[in-house]
Amino acid sequence: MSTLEVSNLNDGTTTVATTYVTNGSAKAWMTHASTTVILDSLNVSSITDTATGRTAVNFNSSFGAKDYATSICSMRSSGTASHYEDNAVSGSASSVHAVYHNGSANADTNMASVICLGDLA
Amino acid sequence: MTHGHLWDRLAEAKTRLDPVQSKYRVLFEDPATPDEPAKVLVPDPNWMACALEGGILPPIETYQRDRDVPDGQPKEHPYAEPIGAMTEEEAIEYLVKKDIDPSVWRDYKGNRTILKIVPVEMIPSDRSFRNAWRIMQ
Repeated sequence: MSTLEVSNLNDGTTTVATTYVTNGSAKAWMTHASTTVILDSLNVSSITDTATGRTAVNFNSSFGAKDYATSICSMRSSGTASHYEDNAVSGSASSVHAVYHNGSANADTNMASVICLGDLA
Repeated sequence: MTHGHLWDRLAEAKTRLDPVQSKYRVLFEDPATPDEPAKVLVPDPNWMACALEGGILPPIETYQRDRDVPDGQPKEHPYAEPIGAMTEEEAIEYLVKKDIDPSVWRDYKGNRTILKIVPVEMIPSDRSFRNAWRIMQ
């Protein structure tokens, strides 16, 4: 494998540091169907189905601290779909806990994705 | 040759390894929260491909030592020298030690079975009573 060492990128008019790009890339992401089948991922070692509508995503390479950014998206075949990160459970640089909701209670999702950005350990 | 950061190895491996869907799942209960339902750990297929390939994942001991490292302090597992290839069974054992709290797989002294590695077919497909799932004794 060869290595390209580049400090800055220039598109002809604007110059940005290479770290501007690398720092902004997702360091962990995954999509899962139902709560038991992982479709694709990067930097995820496993998911844990902890209850109806609740899934923990375990990272392979941990974040440096627990204040990384998380984006969660879920889909349901009918009714309302909402989703959030459970701060009460999370608080960890090595996993994030996603909760899926149908508007009145936690509910399993047909498909969901979780994206995490931040600085790795 | 340096082995670099774990994340770089994972990203590189994803470009050349086919994902491997494990035939196993790990069922466990948390002794600290006995009223909660049994949990089901699902191995990631890209992670499993890395485990079977070898030369990518760090020793499990580095994750265990990093549990005690406070946020913001340097962690050992990202830069540790990778270990060799594992069998699928060894990979599941590694995953238990990595992603399940030691209070479940190491420290529990009770009589109940609170952890089982099972074929994926043994996980009920009917989730109607998911919040009441327990490990059969």
